[in-house]
Amino acid sequence: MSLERVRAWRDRLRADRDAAPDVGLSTQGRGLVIDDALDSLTDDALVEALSPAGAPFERAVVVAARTVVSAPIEWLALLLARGTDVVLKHPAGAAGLAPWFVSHAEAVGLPLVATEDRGAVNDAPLVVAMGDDNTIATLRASLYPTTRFLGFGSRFSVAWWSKGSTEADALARDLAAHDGRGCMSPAMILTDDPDGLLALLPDAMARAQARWPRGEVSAIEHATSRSRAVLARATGRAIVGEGWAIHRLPPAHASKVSLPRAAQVIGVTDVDAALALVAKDAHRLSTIGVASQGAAVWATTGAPRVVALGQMQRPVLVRRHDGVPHLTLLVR
Amino acid sequence: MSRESLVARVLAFQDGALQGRPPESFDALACDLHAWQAAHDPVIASLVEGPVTTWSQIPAVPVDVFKQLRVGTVKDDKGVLFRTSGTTQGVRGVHRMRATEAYDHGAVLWARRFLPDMPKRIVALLDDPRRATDSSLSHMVGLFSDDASWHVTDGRVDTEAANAAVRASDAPVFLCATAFALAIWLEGEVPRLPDGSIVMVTGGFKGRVVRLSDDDLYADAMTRLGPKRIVTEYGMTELSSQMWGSPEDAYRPPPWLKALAVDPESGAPLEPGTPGQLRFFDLANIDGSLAIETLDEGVVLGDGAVRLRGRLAGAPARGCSLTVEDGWVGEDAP
Repeated sequence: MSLERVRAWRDRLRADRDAAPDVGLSTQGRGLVIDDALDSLTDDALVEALSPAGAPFERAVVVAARTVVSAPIEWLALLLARGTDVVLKHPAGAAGLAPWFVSHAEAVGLPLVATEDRGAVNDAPLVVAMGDDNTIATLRASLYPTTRFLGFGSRFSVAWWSKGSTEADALARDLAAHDGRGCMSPAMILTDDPDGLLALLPDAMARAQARWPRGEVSAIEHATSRSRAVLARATGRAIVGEGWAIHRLPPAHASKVSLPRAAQVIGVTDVDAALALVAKDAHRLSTIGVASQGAAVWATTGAPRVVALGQMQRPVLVRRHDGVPHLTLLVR
Repeated sequence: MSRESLVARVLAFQDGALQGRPPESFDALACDLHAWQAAHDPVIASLVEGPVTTWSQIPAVPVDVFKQLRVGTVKDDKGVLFRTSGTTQGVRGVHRMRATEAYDHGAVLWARRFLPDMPKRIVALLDDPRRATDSSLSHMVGLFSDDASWHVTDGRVDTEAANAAVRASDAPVFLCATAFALAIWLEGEVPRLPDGSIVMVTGGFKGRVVRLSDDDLYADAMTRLGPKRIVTEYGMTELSSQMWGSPEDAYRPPPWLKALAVDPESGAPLEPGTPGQLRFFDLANIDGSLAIETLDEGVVLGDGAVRLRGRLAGAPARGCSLTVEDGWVGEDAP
């Protein structure tokens, strides 16, 4: 019964996606990330995701992120399909898509409510939250020991572009989704062929911008992006287009911070050098997007996801979330 | 053009400008200084896109770049080195100077001009500059008087010693503090300052969990310390000049420092009176970069004074880590 309602909820969201609330992304950009999230909720995937045996929690709280507005979709689907009552705790003053999720849930009889009240987590038997490490630690410490807490701290993602690769449009898509602010957005593109990549990527970035225009960018993000462009000009190369930028930097200046629609290209001698570059932060890796070939070698990093370019922001439903077997933890 | 000749011109400009008779135009000196810096620093040279004919065209180095690259003409480790506090991101920017003659001369000149009644006795809620040699703020305050006591060590305010220093003084004191240190000090019992004392507050609360509005801090300090007045100071490690103001009034830059508000997206200059991202053009920045781009927002008024509005709007760019953080831990709860 609940599963059927979740399917109905999914279909309503898809049909109504153009009416989703403004979340700072462009209309097309918002549609892209909603589609990506809903696409993962196939009938088969839902059935498989619900296969781990166990009793559902009566109630759960999902603490929603400010930046990746579509992230709650899979959690809500999984919990609601189990028959769990769900409270979606959204950031104060930034409801994001929460009211939209709730109105469509109410329409199909799913027990979903939204709140900005921090106290919602206090007596919840299950809390799912994503945030930086301090947040997760603070939240964990504030909960009863009996609360099951699934907290997901800071992660970053990288793309690997090997010599001879051609999937620039797929890479630009990964950079466009969530305007580059997601954990699964490629914060840096490591490559043994920076010139080859830079020959293809500007046009791909421009095409992505035309298809999914960049949304709102804060003053500090603009300033930081221009600052990185200065760094790139001094140490590598900066290419700045309308609504996008490419910053080629040496490995010494590689940053795990992704900026809106800004591709950070890091030239390395070979894949071993790329692996070495991410090795010290390997435990924080979320997703690695790989062009053409080389998935096997990247799997050695221990990154939870190694996928083809173009799929970085499109996680399948049945997987380990940041390496955690979350599907089995949503039941008692 | 040599460093020595530029220093001499800057010192002459500082002296002359305060007497209303600058020996040359700001533009002329700024353009020459920039050309010299670009000729001796590949970082600054990389930013040059075309001819520079006026100060506002000089490309500015963003403050974050000081954390990544060695900016400026000092390519060895000789001279003076100031570091940013690094409280927000942990990485510290570095400003290297061959010598501080223009910094020191200008800092004292402008402070004396703005504060002719500056008390000689200084009680500083700051690190001792003899120990914290890389603190530009301590260095600046240390220039104002030899009669100073210092009451911060490794970031901790020694409130008892500060209280004792105030109580021991029967002459007015110049109490110099960061906003954060002052707020910490005011958390406890504090003595009233001797009559005629002045409080200087600088900096904000960036990167700190404890926050207090500036207005509340000033009101609390005024009520409990009883100074003649409170003055505000705006300086940056990457600059060599400072602006002075008061809680009610805009910051006043010295004649050798110009501010410009720019569009954060394009970097294009904005009309006076329009809020924007602040850039500074500091003739005393001989060895670093004459032009600095901050991450602060402000309004540059028609007369060159600056109303500071704090950090640029928007969450700091940290990718997905700023999700619920902004935040369960901080003030802007989700």
